[in-house]
This record gives sequence, C-alpha cells and structure tokens, in this order.
Amino acid sequence: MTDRDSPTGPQDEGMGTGAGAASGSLALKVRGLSKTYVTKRLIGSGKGYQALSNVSLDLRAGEILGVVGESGCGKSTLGKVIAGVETTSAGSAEVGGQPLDLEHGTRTRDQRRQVQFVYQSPRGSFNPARRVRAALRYNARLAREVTGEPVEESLERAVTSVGLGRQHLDRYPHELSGGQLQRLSIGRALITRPDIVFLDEPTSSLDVSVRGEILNLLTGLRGSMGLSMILVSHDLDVISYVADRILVIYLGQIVEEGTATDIVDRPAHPYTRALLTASSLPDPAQPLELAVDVRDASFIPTGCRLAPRCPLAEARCSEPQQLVASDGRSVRCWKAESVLP
Amino acid sequence: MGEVVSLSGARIRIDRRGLPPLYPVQNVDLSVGTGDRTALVGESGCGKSLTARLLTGLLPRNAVLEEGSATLLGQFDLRKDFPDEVRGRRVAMIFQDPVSVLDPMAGVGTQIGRALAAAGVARADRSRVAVDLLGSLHIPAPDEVARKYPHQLSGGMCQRVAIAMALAPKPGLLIADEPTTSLDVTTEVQVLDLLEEYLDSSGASLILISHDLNVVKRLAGSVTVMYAGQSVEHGPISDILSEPAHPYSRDLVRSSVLNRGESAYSIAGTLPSIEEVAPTCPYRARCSEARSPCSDTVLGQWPSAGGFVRCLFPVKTIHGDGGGELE
Repeated sequence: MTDRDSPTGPQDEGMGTGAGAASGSLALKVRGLSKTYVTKRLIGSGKGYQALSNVSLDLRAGEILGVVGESGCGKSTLGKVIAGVETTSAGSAEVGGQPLDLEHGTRTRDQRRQVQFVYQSPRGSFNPARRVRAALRYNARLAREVTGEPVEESLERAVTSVGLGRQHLDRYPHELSGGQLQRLSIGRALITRPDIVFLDEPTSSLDVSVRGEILNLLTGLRGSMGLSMILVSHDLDVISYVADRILVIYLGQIVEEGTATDIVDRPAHPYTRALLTASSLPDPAQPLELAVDVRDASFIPTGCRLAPRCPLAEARCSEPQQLVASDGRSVRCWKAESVLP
Repeated sequence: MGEVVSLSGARIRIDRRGLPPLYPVQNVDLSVGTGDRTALVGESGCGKSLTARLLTGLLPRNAVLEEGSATLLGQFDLRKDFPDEVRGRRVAMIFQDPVSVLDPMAGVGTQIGRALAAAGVARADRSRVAVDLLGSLHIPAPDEVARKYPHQLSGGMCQRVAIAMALAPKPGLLIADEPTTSLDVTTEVQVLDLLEEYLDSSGASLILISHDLNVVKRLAGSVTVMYAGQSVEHGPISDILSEPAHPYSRDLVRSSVLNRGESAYSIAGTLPSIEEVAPTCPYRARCSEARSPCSDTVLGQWPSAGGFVRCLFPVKTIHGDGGGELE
C-alpha cells in the first residue's frame, strides 16, 4: 500500500495511483494539483474556496478516464487548469513526457495543440453570428503551423471524423441541432490531432434521444484514433458506459479511483456507493443514501470531507483521510479497507 | 374521481411581430384525475413546459389557446382569464432552476412567509408555520435555515425551499417542471422522496415534466409522451416502458438505456419546425416504421391499454431483443 498524500510532496512519491504507468505510455500525468479560487474584495483579503486539493492522476494513451462527482466538486476546474484556462501554483502536469506550465497558463502553440477542451454547451461554444467554419478556423491554423496541413484539409478531416459533411461548415449554429453542434465541437478539438481531449459534460445539455450518438462517437474515436480522453460528468450512467477507468471526486479530493467495472460492481467509498444508489444502474451490494447537509458548498470539513453527510461516519472520520492505493484502485476511506481485496 | 385537468385537442399559438405565428403545442390531450400522478415526457422543444404554463396561467402574453378545450379543477375554462384564486393556491408549480425562483434579496423564511400570506395564514403564525414546513421537508435545523439567504444555501437546499413555498397553500394539483434536472443525483433522490411524501399524505395530483425516464419511473403512475407539440401516446408507466405502442415512445425508452459494450441507441434526425401545424404524423421523418400512408393521413387517436396512441402503425412490442426495457 502506498500513500499518495505523503508529506514529502507530490513530486517524490512513487506511482501511487493504482492504474500506474505499468502498462502503456502516459498521455497525461498530473501530480499534487491544487487550486483555490479567491473572491476579490475591495478591502481586506478575499475568501478562498479550494476547488481542487492535491489531485494526482494518470491518463494512459488511448484511454477514456471518467471523472464523476457532484457540482462544485472541482471536475471542471481540473480540466481548465490542464487546458491552461485557469492557473495554479500548486502541482505539476506533463503531457507526453513534457512539462506543462500551470502557474501562468502560458503554452507554446504546440502545447495548445496537444490539449483540447470540449465544453458542456455546444450552443455556447459557437459564435451565433459566424458560420461554423469560422469557429473551427483557429484550430485549423494551429494545426497548419505545427503539422503543415492545409486549413481546408484539416477542416474537412474534422467534419468527416465526426460523421458530418463539408456542407455543415457553411451553416450557422442556429441551423444545426444540438447533437450536430456537439459533434462539431468535438471535431474542432480533433483538428489539431491532440494528445488529450478534455470533455466537460458533453452530453448533459443534449436530449437523451441523441445522447447515444455522441457516446458512440467517443467510443468510436478511441478505437479508430487511439484518442486519450478525460470525460467529466455528474452522470454515473454515462461515465460507466464509456470510461475505462473512473475517478470519483468529492469536494476537490479524489475519493476513489479504479477500473469502471470495479467502481460499478464493487464500489468501496461510501460516496461512490451513494452515487450508484442514486443512479439508474443496479444498486450496489450495500446501498447508501447521504444525509442532508445544510452548510453551503464553500464549507470544507477538516477530516473526511464526506463525514457530515455520511451515515457510516464515526469519531475516526474527523481525522484527515489518506488516499490508499492497492491492486489497481485507490480509496480515501479507512472503512473501505474491508471491502478491498 | 373528479377530473383535475382535462385538455382536449389543445393548440397554443404564439404571435410574433412581422413573422408567422408559432405553434409549439399543436394537439395535446391530457386528462388527470384526483390523486393521479402523470408525467409528460419528450425531447426539449416538444411543448411540455408550455402545456404546464397553460395549466398555471403563466403563458407568455403573446401566447393564446387557439383551439381545443381546457378545463381546470372541473370548473375553470382556461380559454377565459386564468382564475387568480387558483394560481399558486390550488395549483402550484415547481420550477427547474430553484436559484432563479427565489428572491436573492430576501431571507428564506420571509419568502415562505409570502407564500403563506397568499395561502391565507395569519401574519403572527407565518414564521412558525414556515419553520414547521421546512422541518417537514427533512431540513435539519429549520429555524437556522429560515434565517438564511438563497446564496448561502446549496442548489438542493434552494429546491427544498422552493418546494416548501409551492406546498405552503397545500395545493390539490402540483406541477413539477423538471424539478431535479439542476440537482446532483444524490440530492435528486431526496427531492423526489419529498414530493412523493406530500402526494401520499395529501392525495394531491401531480403533473411531472421530465426528460428523464428514471425520474418519471420513480414518481409517476401514467405517462403522456409528447412529440412536436402533440401527445402521441398515453398509458400506464409500466406499459409505456416495457411495451410502448408508439414508435417514438419505443425509441425514447431505448435511447435512455446504456449497456456497456453495446452500441448506444439514438434517434436520428431532429424535431420538425414549430412554425407549421401538421395534421399528419410529425415523427414520420425519423420513424423506422413509417410507410406511405403516414405522410398523407390525418392522424386520429386510437385507444390502447389504459390510454391512447396516435399512430397508424403502432408497435406492440419492442423490436430487437431486450434492448429497450427499463427495469
């Protein structure tokens, strides 16, 4: 058993994550990532809200890593920091073995090409006054600079890779359905031949009738292009359907990590069990419902962060819990040891 | 059993300056008896929310019930002005986004007090009743919560407060428009339990609007499936989920199921435009069962087990094996 939150600092620890680098090369390696948002005040210091706390993760090449958790747990922040949209001074990240600058968010054009982000709302990520072609052009130019591929060719490659045609490039966003627009925003990410695509709730703003179309596209892209993806969702049904491995986050901390089958069939952390109980997936062997917490979301308990809502909480839960890895999965709950092999 | 809601052939027209009118609701039949729990399901843009707004008197100014009949609580004709004594008192609505429903400038207790004032509770009793109401919704330390402002509460807690306000006058008909869509899954279950508790204890009727069949399955006894402004099928929930008659219901049920390792089902194509009123089947362009009569036959409605279906070629069983059935 290794401990990922070792006091020696995130850089010095071994591959704590159960899914380590043992098999396949790593597309992304994140160590000890923390991010605190500070609300600005005119006078005095602002109030801080820690969105991510010492998060370490590995994304293997060609893998879909699912990140699941409630709203406000830091899922989107994780993607924004990796994509350079938000900055942080704590933690490090490497893409394809090359370090990424997290502190200033400064990226070389090649690094910008490597990490792509697909936003939740396809309508919100296209300029309604411009044709689709214009929205895709920035990435096409990025691709041309790095790979020399002509802009028109990469645009065409993008639309065909997501099952659409050239004619869609000349449409305005309002002329396309939500599903088509979401395909195009995935296509836009693919133009640059990225190493990692971060998808932030790609199906939550779509109707269930077209959700399958996007999920099939993602699993297809993993197969055909060997694309590495991080898929963020609050919906465990979606995550367990597409992801190879799942990371469960609660209030900025990883509480459980493992293969999709392990997480769904043998959830160890009470929070994962509660998520499964609430989802439409078959209930876990020990279903669990969380209590109501009246405190607002910015309150972070000092011990186990779930303790105020956890029906299994005991006195020992008021101490900080460590993420303990063993046999391909990690859990942050002292009670979970009995569940693990 | 009395009829709480009776809609027949309802068509809503939205007028636009200089543009042709829109018909987002074209042909809706809906009948809800006392104590019934009915769900309206369908894709976004199919007219679910506008139907609910018609029943609560909250239609936009430029919208009008152009055709069909609509009766509320057995006595109010909705083609006339909406009765003030009904809105928010005998018929209450729970909205999707609790944070925008609540007044950011007023304490939670004060806001519930306003709802209680509308329900005729004496001023002296309001704060006590508000706290009792919060307590009955299983909110820990209700007196503390009553003193807080919406921004100090989580989304789930705000939705509980919004529910408290809706339930304050003890309405006989509750209309819940996607009540859990903006909430986390763990909170969703709790909110649905609260609604169920109220319905069980009061015997009130429910119209639940949702695109999520898992939510519907938990609360509703019957389902009306809507497509492009029409009610295309109505029946008991168990029938619609296991043996839908309309191809659209079948496809909707199929697409809500994800089985790892199998290809996910999705419905190709998009909803037709709401600018035209089609007397023929609106689903035919996307329907796998469509045949030539579908494009030139004016649709009637045919009775099916416990409801109706509006389709020339209904599917009695789900095609394929096992793919579309919810547990």
